Amino acid sequence: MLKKRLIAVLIIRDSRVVQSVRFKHTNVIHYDAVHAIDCFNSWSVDEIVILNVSPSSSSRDPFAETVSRISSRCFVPLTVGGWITDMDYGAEILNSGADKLVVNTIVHDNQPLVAELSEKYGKQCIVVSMDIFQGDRDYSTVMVDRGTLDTGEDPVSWAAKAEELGAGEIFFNSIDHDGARKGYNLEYIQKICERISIPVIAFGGVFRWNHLVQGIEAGADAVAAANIFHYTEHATKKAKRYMANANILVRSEGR
Amino acid sequence: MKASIGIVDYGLGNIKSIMNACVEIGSRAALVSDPDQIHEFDKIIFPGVGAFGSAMEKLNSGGMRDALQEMKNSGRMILGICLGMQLMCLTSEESVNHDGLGWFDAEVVQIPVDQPGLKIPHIGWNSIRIQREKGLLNDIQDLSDVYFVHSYMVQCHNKEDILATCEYGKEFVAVFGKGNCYGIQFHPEKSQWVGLNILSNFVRL
Repeated sequence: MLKKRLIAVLIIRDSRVVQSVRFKHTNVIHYDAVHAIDCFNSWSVDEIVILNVSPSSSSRDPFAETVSRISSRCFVPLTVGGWITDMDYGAEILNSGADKLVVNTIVHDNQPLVAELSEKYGKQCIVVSMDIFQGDRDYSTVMVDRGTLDTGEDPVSWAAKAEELGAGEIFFNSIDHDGARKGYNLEYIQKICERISIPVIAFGGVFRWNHLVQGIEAGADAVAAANIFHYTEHATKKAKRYMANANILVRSEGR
Repeated sequence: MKASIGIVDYGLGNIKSIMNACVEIGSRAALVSDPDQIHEFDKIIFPGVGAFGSAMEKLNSGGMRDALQEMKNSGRMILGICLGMQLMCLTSEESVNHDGLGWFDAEVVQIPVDQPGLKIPHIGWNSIRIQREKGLLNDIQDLSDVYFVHSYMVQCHNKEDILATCEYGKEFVAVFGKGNCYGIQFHPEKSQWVGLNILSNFVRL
């Protein structure tokens, strides 16, 4: 049987691993991302996602260099995104050792590029990340450009459009939930999973292991977290044991 | 010192990941893109992602096919990974106009698409059933989880060639081996300890 995946996310700003709280990235967690990867490797995480949230496009080359150093120590799938705005940089990230590309803003402003990346590398290689936001309103919309630009679009239609464009997976995040320690945005994870047929990765808000179980129960194929894994020793191992005890099929550790 | 493992680089595949894995297990590996240099290596890893037809065209046009055939005839160990494994078969439903290398009496067929809830491609960690624990799968536990990414699956006519199976929609061949040729459908370079141990076994064969 195919297993439900547990994914560790590294948020990178200017070559350092940072904590993300409602998309503000102030607290540096690690100065060296490779050290974090070595921990996750020995803690049997199923996949690693690395996102470049630096505010300037001048971060692209140093970030690719970071990806290259991380990939040499990473023997699980490596999914990488941030500032992928043209074919050449997509190729550079893959050549740096990424297995999949994460795209976000181009789903808003350059849809042909999403389709072209999917056509060239196959849809299994393209992960569309979507950040949704509610705030004080009674409805949610999709935000792009690191959560700064409101597209005004409905999240469920957005996910369906991403699938049509050739996404192989959706990486779902909610700005209201990011770093807020109250668990995932289960309402929208469930709505999106009911609408589309590609796998959904839930992200944003995990503070207790039970939040991971809730994500799977809402329909996600994989559950991801960032901050919590940095502050708990052997975190991913403990998380997986918790998921297994909740009767979720997870990868056996093997050796 | 000269590298002992040549990783065939014909423009398709996650070459860097395989190279990283070889470094991790302490083997001396190098990329080889010139067919004339293949014979300098003791063992060959033959990776590949993408479409069956375009891969066969690349092998046929660049002289790599003949070079690989010579390596096979010389008795040196060859390991196909993912599409590399599928190319060792007779034919593939992905590309009916192209024959494979034909080293295994096997066919590549589509993952059944008519089952509800079965997503294609088959992506993620799935468990393998070990049919023959020798050589390549030495000390690998039955039901180990490994990382798959594929839309087509291998079916062997000759059951003796099957070293491990997996199930997704229906049973398919996850690892096969015959003589000096082996093929792995999943990605050992992305399957953490289990995968690295399989690659170590290959180095020791």
